[in-house]
Amino acid sequence: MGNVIPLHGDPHETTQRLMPWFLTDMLDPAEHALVEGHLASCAECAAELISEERLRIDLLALPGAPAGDWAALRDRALASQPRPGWWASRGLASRVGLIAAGQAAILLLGIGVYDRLRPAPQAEYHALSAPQPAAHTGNIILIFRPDSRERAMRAALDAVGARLVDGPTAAGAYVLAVPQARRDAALDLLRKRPDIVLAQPIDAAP
Amino acid sequence: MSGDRRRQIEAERRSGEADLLARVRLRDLAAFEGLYRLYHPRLSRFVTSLVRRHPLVEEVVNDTMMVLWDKPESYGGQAKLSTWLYAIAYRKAIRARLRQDEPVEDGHRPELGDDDAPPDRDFGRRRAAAILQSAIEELSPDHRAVVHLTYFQEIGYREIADILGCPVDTVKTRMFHARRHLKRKLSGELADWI
Repeated sequence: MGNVIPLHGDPHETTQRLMPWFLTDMLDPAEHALVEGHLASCAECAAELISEERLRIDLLALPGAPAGDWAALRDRALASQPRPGWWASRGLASRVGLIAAGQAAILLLGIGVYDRLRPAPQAEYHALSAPQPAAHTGNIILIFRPDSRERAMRAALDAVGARLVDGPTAAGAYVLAVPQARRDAALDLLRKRPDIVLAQPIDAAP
Repeated sequence: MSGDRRRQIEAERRSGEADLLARVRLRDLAAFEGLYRLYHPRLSRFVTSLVRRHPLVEEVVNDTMMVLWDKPESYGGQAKLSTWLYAIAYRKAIRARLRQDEPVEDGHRPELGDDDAPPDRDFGRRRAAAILQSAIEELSPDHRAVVHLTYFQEIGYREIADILGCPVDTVKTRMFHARRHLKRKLSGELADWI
């Protein structure tokens, strides 16, 4: 009797299985309406409902359980005192000691957390492969034509006395640093070169 | 009973129970007695459907009520108090049955009557009741529990699933098979005598 029969939405099957709770008025409104609607049109289910109601009445007529013995339970309840919690069962000295120990533990934990989160001091040396911090001293951004050769690029930097401080970026740009007094003149020269697409200042005007 | 009237009674009962429960939390023995008198008949009948021996029924019901007395805070209020108590009683009854329940003659079984007595209407009713009682005892405890909660306690199948800790389809299927079994055993008796 343990196999589960899934309901597949067939109103007849659904009515057959929900009938007990239809009789006791314990269905939700949608289920109740579905069963009621089906009963109006299905003689088999209507007959089944009558038989089910007879069964229910007969079940309810069976003898009930014997009366209980309150006196026995009352004695048990009186004997059962609420158990003090673990904390309440400790003496005063024990509680004070536990509080002090707890505070010490919290302090140690705090020191440990601080130590782990504190920024590490700067290393004195770097491996050659270690990433270098980005230089922020450039004042010109430059983009060469894609087909520019290395020699032409070097010549452009030499022509304006620029130093390459960063790049290429994701967009293929380079950051140059030129003395601030010569920045505008350098920009003019760079913009005139045919192998340069863009030359723009990236700092405030001198 | 109409749905509206039932809901009104249920709301009044839950309100009364909430008051008693609040007092039980303050260790008010009179309030505990109120809940005992409210629930003992229902719990006792439910547990009787799961274990046979009367002393064991009383033990399970009292153990269930003592959970309420000793640990009222463990009832969170999400479910109905009845659902919570039935679920506790069900688990305790299953454990008690595994531990020590043995089949014994049920002192509350309706008498079949003397086979030589004339077939009057009362005799027929008693006979049908005895057959029904016997048919119920042939069901598994899980099937009996579903029949009991559905018809004696008038609990919906979703709440029964919560109490028994099983899927709702299992509740419907158990009820379907239990009804089929009872009707098969009673075939002829109900039609003749009721």
